[in-house]
Amino acid sequence: MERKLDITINHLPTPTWNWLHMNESTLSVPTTYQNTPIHMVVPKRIVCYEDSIRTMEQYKTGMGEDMNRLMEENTKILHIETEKGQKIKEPITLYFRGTKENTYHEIEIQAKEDSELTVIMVYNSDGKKDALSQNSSKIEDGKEVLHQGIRTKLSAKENAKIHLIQVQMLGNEFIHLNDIGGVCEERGIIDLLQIGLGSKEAYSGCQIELLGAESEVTTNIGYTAKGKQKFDMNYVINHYGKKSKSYLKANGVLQDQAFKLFRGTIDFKHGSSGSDGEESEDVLLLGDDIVNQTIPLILCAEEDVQGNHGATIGQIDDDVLFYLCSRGMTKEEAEHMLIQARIDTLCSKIPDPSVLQMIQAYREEEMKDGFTE
Amino acid sequence: MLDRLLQINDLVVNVEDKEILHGINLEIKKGETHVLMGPNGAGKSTLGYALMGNPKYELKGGEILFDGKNLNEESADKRAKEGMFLSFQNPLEVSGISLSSFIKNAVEQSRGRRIRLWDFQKEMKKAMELLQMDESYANRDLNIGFSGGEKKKAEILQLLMLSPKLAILDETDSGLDVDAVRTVSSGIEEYQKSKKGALLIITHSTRILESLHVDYTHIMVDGKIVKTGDGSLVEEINQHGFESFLSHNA
Amino acid sequence: MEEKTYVDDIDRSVYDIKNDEKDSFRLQEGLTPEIVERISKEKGDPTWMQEFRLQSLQTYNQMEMPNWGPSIEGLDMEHIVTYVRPNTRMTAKWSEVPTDIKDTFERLGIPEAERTSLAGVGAQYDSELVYHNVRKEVAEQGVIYTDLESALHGEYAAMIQKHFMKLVTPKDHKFAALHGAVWSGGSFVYVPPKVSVTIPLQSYFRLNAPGAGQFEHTLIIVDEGAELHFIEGCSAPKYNVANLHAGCVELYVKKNAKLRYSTIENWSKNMYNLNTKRAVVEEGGTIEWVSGSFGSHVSYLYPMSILKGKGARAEFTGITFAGKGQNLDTGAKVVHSAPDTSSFINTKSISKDGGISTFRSSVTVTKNATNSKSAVSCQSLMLDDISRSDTIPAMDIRTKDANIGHEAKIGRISDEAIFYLMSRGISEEDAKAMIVSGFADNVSKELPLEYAVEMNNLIQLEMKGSIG
Repeated sequence: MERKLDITINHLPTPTWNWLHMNESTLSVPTTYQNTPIHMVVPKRIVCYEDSIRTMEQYKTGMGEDMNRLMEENTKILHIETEKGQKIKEPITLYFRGTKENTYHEIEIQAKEDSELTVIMVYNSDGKKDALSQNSSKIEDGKEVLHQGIRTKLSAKENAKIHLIQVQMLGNEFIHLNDIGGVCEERGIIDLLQIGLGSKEAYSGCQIELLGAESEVTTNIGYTAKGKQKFDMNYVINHYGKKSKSYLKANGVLQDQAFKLFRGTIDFKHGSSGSDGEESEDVLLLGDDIVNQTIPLILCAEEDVQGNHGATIGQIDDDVLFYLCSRGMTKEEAEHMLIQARIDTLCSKIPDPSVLQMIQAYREEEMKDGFTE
Repeated sequence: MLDRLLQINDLVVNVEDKEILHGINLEIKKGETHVLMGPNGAGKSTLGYALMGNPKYELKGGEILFDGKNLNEESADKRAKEGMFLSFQNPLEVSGISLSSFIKNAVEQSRGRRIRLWDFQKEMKKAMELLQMDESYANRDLNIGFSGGEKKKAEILQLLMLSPKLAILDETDSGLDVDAVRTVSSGIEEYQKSKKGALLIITHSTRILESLHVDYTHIMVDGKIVKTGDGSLVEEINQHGFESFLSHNA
Repeated sequence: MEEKTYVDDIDRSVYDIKNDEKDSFRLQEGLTPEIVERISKEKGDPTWMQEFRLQSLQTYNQMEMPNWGPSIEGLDMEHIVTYVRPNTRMTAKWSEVPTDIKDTFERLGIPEAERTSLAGVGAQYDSELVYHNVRKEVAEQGVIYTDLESALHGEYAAMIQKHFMKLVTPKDHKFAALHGAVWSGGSFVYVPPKVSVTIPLQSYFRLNAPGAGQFEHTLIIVDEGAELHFIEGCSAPKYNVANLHAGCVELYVKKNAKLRYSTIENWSKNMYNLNTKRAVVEEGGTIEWVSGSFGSHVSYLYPMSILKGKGARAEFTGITFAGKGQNLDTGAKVVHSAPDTSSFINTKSISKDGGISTFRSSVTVTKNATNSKSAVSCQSLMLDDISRSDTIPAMDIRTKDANIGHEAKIGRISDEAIFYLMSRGISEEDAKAMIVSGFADNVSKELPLEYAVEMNNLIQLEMKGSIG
């Protein structure tokens, strides 16, 4: 028997009514796992090594403390670092290929003063065909569920910039845990882009501390959930530094019986005067049995700040639909186009053609499967 | 008749259970340019939406024949594929779709085949130059953050790229400065001349018509066409306004 | 140097007048089955009610304190006096109300309001109603407006039993259970089918006794096609010991009926206001909540609308003003459980002088609530950097055929706006007060004039200070 660990993750920073079941999520994960080698494409000049030392242990992550219990025995931490002033255009691409085992990985990315780098993480697996079939009962009937857990810590030093791109295209036998914790120092910038397409269940957490003045975080999330897919997200941005900026955007599509819970928090701490935070969510509901849960928090202990949140949840606006149709698209084509658009917008920001090709191939296959359904 | 493109017979249109158009008759031949004028609230835009098939505009009577086909029951996309085009007064903003990928998609739909990216980009660049649009607009989300003028230019860009048989331009000149009107006009002229397209220009000013050849002018008041004349009627409106038609109607 | 506004504690003299507690009957502190039985006996409950109270007490003892929201540690349930009966019987004549109590209500402007703008008035003092009256022409339409105790014994007894704590059950949360056990006072209103009450009814709740709790129950049934506006006002003088208000409001809005429920809450700042309000709306019916929260030390208040019938509609307009020493957690809950239902929530909150205001909401749309629409908008204003303002809105949507919008904004008064007003000769203090009043406009314009004026006065009081 596999040993299991019950963990509670994705805590809402300020809880609300328990009957909503949005305050946190609990799940049971295996404690035995592999730290399989990561396939990496690394530009020459970059410092990249593996050891057992955590340099960002104190950084909090979006999933919370329980992830420490999970990663406790891990001794392999991948470090990616830039030198001061080093600006690297070419992305570092890491491929996390889902295998027949449970895998966990820890990555620490540090951008030293005045440097800039781009890291792309691709999560995919073999069981693509399988993954996309709408009927996941096969798995519920005892087929082994696999876990892939990745914890990434980010440190953007003074005037440094980290672009982190994560694309998840796992098969539907996978439960994915993707956890991020990061800190921005003065004028440090974290620019996060996430695309969620696959897996049976995807848990995603992210907590960024804007410690330094004029530090910034941008989070662009795009997902399409179909079948019985479940997406559970928790994003927390803490403004400490003066004139810090945050932008949190999540656009998605829910089809069939998909479930999505999005928690997004912008917290203006005392002293973060002059800061600006914006959160927006746009969810297209296309399935008859979908569940869409949203809880966007703005917490504020500072007078001189601007915090905004907006959410639009529902079907495509009639006027937009008519506009598109008047250019010759059928309703279905227009809908399809708007679904694809959510991902296309994000794809246009990925600077790695081979990753784009993988996404393209994955989506084409998905479409084919969708049409044969 | 072969060259008859659009024929509207006794068209009655309701919006939210209220009758707005009370029996419109209109005929447009291939390549002709018609102007539809009238005071605010006359029902001009309603006619445009009804022709394009906006589901909010309910056909209560009459028929729309386009290229010999009855379009009464057809959805907007079918009408577009038949060669009808409506330039919106307030083009909608759609996030996540760039102007260029939107037009490419629409062009492929209307031509019924894929088009090579290279050819498309060349064609689009030419049209954008004519309309004095900055190339960067091609990659921006459809109409998002566009000024009023840029939105209208983007509509005419679509017109040029799709080259329909009939273009209905709904208040394309409203809210534009003198230079922008001139640029948009030159785009319409291009469509008139090199694409041999027919036009129904809905407007309540005459600025946009200065450099365009007009075959017929119709005056609409209170949901009815009260007078039809040639291009010189535009000049008459320019001088005297709609007053005489209002009293005539009363 | 940036100028700072120094703000005094507000002048609440009107609300703060304390009367001696003379000759009133006061139960011992705390909560035991014996005390609950005593209350039941004092009030002459029917048997079912006595059993209901004891069962609620059991539920109370089994339930946990909420693990979210503001701290209520300062509330020592062992020392709250659950029942204080003023030394008078309920009357329909002001002249028969004891002088000290009468004076209190006079100062609060209640009899004046009754003469000029109300269809009926109820006045509760501590645990019991002391006055209840309804205009003759309204009574003649068949409108019932009485205290709940009388209703329990009169011809509406069966109706009460059928509806009492059926919408908010004692199992709902710990303080609903407490309410079930020790409730006392409150009003019962019944509006017969198709009757439209054109001027509002009002109940005013005054808690005078220190260290006591007020647990009034309001039950309103607006029958098919009928219409009513009900106003609730509350205040108390400030004491150094904690007072508790755990009232309960149950509203039944029948087919095509319409109910507006307005509250101006101005409890003293030692009050724990743990109130539960809920409405169930049937086909084509409308519930409109207008809510101004100014008082209390701690508030938990989220009126809930259950849109049960096709086309039912809920509107919530609220303002919360949290000043020094206040932690006000307010908002609204809506459940859409039928097609074509709609809800609109529009709130404003203001935090000042270390006050904490939290907007908390939930919008639930069930699978069969097709073609439903909901729009939530909340705006928060921070007046200094020692206060706090949180926004916690939740949405749970289970049909694709819904149109849900939400927007939230947090910010401060713009310097330009203040400068603009000052450039027209208005003092900084007045300019700020004007802007804040304007900010609260969404609520004041929904209230009858007299109440809007009272609300604006409250805002002016809260904003009063001197430039230093």
